[in-house]
Amino acid sequence: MIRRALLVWITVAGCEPLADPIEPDRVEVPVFERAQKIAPDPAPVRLKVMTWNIKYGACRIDFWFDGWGDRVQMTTREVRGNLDAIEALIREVDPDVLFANEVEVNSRRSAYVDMVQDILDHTSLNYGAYFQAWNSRYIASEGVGRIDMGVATFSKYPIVFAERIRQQDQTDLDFLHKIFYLHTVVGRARIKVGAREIGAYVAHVSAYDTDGTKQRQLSHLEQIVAEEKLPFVLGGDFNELPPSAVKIRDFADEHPSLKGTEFEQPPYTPAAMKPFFDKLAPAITLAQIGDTEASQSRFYSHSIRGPHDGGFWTRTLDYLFASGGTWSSSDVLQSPGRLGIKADPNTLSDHAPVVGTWALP
Amino acid sequence: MGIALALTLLALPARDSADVLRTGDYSVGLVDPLRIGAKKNLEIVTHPLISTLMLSPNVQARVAFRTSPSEGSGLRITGEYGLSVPTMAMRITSGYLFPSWKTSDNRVGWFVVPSVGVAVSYGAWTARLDSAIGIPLGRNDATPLDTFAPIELIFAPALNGYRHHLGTIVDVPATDWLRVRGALDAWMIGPFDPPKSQLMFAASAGVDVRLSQRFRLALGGILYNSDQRRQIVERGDDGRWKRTNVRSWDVYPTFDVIFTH
Repeated sequence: MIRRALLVWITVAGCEPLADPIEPDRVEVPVFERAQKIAPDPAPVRLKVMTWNIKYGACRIDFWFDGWGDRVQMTTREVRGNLDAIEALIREVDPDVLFANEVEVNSRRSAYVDMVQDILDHTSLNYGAYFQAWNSRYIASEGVGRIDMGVATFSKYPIVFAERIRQQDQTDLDFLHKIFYLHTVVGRARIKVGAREIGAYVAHVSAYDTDGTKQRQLSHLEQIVAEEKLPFVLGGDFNELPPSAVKIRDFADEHPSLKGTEFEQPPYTPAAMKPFFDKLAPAITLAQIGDTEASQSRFYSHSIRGPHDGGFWTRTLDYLFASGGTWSSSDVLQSPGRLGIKADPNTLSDHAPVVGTWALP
Repeated sequence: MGIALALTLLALPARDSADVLRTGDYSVGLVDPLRIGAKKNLEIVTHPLISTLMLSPNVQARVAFRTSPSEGSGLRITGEYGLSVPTMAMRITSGYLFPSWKTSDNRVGWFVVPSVGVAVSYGAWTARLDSAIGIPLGRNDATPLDTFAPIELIFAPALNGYRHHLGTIVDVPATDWLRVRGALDAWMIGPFDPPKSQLMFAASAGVDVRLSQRFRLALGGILYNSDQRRQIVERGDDGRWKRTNVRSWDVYPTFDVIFTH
């Protein structure tokens, strides 16, 4: 009865839906462009690829669901300063293709900044496809307000087609969360690189489910890329540890207050990542990652706690894969000096960028 | 002419006009505030549910400057002077409309909101001009909500600094048991960061139906037009995709049961 009444209200109350169900399962999305294009290498034989969860331009501001802080929104000035620093690192790396997670375009918490156009305007990336995953007029939790967040693929080369592929939602959510909460999508793009086309996939898999949704989404992602006819590269925040991970629980950056809340980290299932390492070419191989905590820590890419609380990267969640070919100069940019960068990524997001150079097959 | 005069005398009285209640009369609704005819040409208005459940005291004095010998006709002018303290309503809704700020000392600050206005009625027609400002008493960390117009308007004096309003209502008797009303309203509220349109508009229509000698049922709808930061994606003149801000339209049903003594 309550559900029916709410649906009626949602239907009649506003001309703009209260929340976008992010349907259908596959839909073409527009490709945004830089006003003045910067000409890339016309006949490249390799591509520098970067994947980075930019935490909606918040850098290391502790938001309420992190447990370490209680911020809900940023000022325009804060977002501008944060994006300047994030874009400075992107310019340092100067990737040909950038996969970005937690990109916002019209969210109250990030001062309504269009980060897709902003990144295009402040880097040498010419094209950007935004794959919306969360679009609600008002999120009542902590007064978050309007939110428009998703994943994005940026490229120096023309994105000739982009489509959003819907993934399965969590089943362990209540009625209101099912309507208003974040959905999960995969962004597929076809990029014309010189005379050839490649596929580019960006993913951001569910983080907090307790019903096996993440594992199903990873399996779905594996099926999606298996159907790709073009040579492709895949990147994103997989929210899962590598199959050989030594440390898989009790991470020091998880705040005790999150225990029992919807933001408590569910147990990781590293085996779910095995098919990607088995079937695809990882930018950072399991051999590089090694089998000790010391060796693996060099490739950790996530930490909830930032350097102002003494935090450093605690686990690997972000990956780059390709359909074939070889990778070189691959690394997780944990700190200044990695791949020669000057910026400190630990101050710029709760995820470190993963970068690799892919020799086109 | 005779029928019209009879309808005016026998019909349900108009609402939201410049008329004030007679001494000793009162009315209250589920949504409509408690109105008390305190003395000749003075009406006191308060929202008891907001005062008690939301712990946010509010009161308005309506002083009739010019009255008409027969209620609902001729020219009437009334001054309206209010004072409210919305802070506790904002604090009670922390966690939903406002942050709870569990790890910092951020907080919703204290405000007093004085308001002043004038209502002018002529026959069944009423115009109203009013203004409210929020006076902060110390530190405040809450920011404007950027949300649905009715909620935005409630907290605008405190969160945006001010709320100015200009409105007009036509409320006419159709029979002795039915009134028909229509209204147009415009508001200007204080600035936002980042900037957006500070203007809001509404058009409403409804009927008041006499249920008994003391009770009336008010039914209707209201259409708001406001900037809630909605965007659409469209191609610009240069052929590139771009995001464009558009205003939001929202329709809400209105319902009330009002008791009059």
